[in-house]
Amino acid sequence: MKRLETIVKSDKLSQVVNAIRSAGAKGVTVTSIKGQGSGERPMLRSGRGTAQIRAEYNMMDSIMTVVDDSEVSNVVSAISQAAYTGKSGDGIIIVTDVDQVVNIASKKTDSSAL
Amino acid sequence: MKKQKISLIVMFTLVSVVSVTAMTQAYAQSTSDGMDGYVKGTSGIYTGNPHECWYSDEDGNMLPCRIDTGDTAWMLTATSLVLLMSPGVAIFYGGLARSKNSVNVFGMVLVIMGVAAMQWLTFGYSLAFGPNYEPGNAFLGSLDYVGFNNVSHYAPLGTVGSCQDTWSAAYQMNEMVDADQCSQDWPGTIPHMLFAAFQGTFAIITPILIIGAVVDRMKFSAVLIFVIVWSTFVYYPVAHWIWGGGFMADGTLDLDPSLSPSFVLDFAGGAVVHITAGFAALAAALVLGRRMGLGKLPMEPHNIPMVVIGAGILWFGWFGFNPGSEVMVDGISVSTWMATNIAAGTATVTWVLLSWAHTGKPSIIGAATGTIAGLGTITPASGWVGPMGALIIGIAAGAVCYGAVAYKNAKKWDDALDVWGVHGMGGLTGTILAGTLASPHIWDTGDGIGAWTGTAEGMEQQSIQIIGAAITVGYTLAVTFGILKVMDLVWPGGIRVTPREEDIGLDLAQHGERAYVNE
Repeated sequence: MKRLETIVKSDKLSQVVNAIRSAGAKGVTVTSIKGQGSGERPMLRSGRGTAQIRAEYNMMDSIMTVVDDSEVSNVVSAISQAAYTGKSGDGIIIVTDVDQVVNIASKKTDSSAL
Repeated sequence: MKKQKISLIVMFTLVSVVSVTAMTQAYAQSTSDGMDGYVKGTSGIYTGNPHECWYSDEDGNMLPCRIDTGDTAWMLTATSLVLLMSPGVAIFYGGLARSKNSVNVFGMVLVIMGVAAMQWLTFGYSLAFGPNYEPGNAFLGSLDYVGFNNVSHYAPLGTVGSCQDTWSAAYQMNEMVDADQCSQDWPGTIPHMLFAAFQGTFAIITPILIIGAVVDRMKFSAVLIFVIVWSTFVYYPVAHWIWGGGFMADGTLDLDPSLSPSFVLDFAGGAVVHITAGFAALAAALVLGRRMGLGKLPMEPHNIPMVVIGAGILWFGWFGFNPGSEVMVDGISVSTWMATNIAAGTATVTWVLLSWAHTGKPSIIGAATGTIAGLGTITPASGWVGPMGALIIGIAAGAVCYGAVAYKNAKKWDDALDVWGVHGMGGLTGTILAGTLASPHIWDTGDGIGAWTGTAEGMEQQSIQIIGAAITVGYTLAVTFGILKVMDLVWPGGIRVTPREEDIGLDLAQHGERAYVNE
C-alpha cells in the first residue's frame, strides 16, 4: 500500500481528481492549502490600488489517496498528465509507504478497507 | 480588578443617564410659559423656546407654525439614509480589516452609534446648535437644548410671519395659506426635533470614520471614551463654528465687508465632518504608532466584496447626507443630488484608471476607495457647484486622494484604513474647491460665487475657504493629538492593546468572539 499526496494548483483540482479516479483509486481526500515553492506567486494590488505586493502564498490543493503498490505508477502518470502545463509550480507528488489501513465500519484492513 | 473597572463604567453610565433625565424633566417643568395648561388644547406641547416658530390663536393658545409635509417626509427619509451610512462604514471598514480584527471593527461602529446618539441627546446638540445670545459665543453653543429640552417635535425654527412672504415661499405649499403662521427663517419648514435628528446622524458618523485609523491596536474601552471626549472638544465646536452660527458663519472671516461672500461654504460637512475625521485619524495613527509587523506582513483587506457593498451603501446613504443638508425640497436639493452622483462616479473611474496605469491592473478596492473619495470631496461643494464643477471635483478627488494614500504609505504612517488620505485630504480638497468652483447659477439668492468667475467676490470666497479649512485642520490636529496623549498617559497600561493581544487579534482578545466560525 502506498499513500500518494499530490499538491496542485487549485484550478487543476477537478481534472486531477478525475484522473486519479479513472486510474482506479477507490477514493480521495482533498484539503485546501497555502504554500510556497518553485511556482511564481501572483502580484496583488495593495495600498488601495496604489502599489503591488507579491502574494504571501499560492493557493493550492492537496489530494491524498491510498492505492495498491501495483497501481502506483498508473496513478502517478495519470496525475502528471492531468496537472501538466510545463511551467514550474505545477505541483508535486509525494509517495510514502503505508503500514495499515482500517475501515471503520467493516473493520476490514488494507486493500479491502478502501 | 478588571471586573471592578467594568462595573464602575456601567455604574457611571447609569448614574449619568438617570441624573440627566431627571434634570431634563425638572427643567422642562420649570418653563412657565404655556406649561400651566397641560390639558388645555394643544398648549401642553408649547416649549416656550423663542427661537422656535409659534403663533398665538384668539384664545391665547400657542400653536406650532406650519411645517411643510413634503419637506418633513423628505427629511425623515434623508435622516434615515444618513444613519444607514454608519453600518455602511462598518461593512466597508470591516472588509478592509484583517479577519482577526473584523468583529472589533463592526463592534466599534455599532457601539459608537449608540454612544454618540446618547451624547447628542444629553449635550451634543446643544453645544453644536444651541442658540447664542448677544454678544454671542462664536465658539460653542449654549446649554439651552440639553436633553433636547426646548426642542419641539411640532414647531419649526425661526421667527413667525406671513406664510405668503417667506424667503422660500415660491417653493412651498404653505404659500396658499393667508395667515401669519409660517417661519421666516431656514430651516423653517420641518419640526425642530427633526433638524436635531438629522444633525445627530452626522455627529454619529464622524467619530465612526476615525476608527479606520486605530483598527487592530486600540483598546475598545479607550475608543469609547475617546469618542465621547473628541466629539465634545472637536466635533461640536467645529459644527458650531460653521453651521451653528459660530465665527466661520457670522462674518468674522469676512475679509472685505463690501463684497458679498462672508462665510465658509460647507454645504454638507467637508470641513465639519471629513476634515475633522480625517485629520483626527492622522493624529490618532501617529499617537498609537504602527501596527506590529507593518511592512513585513501583508495586511491586506480580508473581504473585497464586503468593501464594495460598504461603498455602495455609503454612496446610497450620501443621497441623504448631501441633498438632505438643504433641509427642504427645492432646486438645490436636486442639484446637490446630481453633483454628488457625478463626483462619486468620476472619482471611482479616476482612481481605477490611476491604479491601472500605476500597477498594471485595475484595482477594485481602489475603485471602491475612489467612490468614497469622490463623495467626501464633493460634500462641502455639493450644494454650490454645477454638474460640470462636480465632474472636475470628482477628478480632483481621485487624483489628490490617490496621491495622499501613496504618500502615506511611503511615509509609513499607519493610518490603517486610509481615513486621512480619503476623508481628510478629500474634505480639504473639496472645501478649497468649493471656493473655486461655486457657481452663482445654482442659488436663486446669488450666493456662492467661486474664484472661477474671476470676480473680486470669487477671490474673497476662495480666501475664506482656505482660511476656514486651515483653521479646522490645525485645530483638529492639535486637539486630537492632545486628547490622545493625555488618555495614553492616564489610561492604565496605555490606550494600545498589549503586543500579545495584537498578535491574537482584537476579536478574540477584546471581545472573545470570532468573525468566522466553522462549527
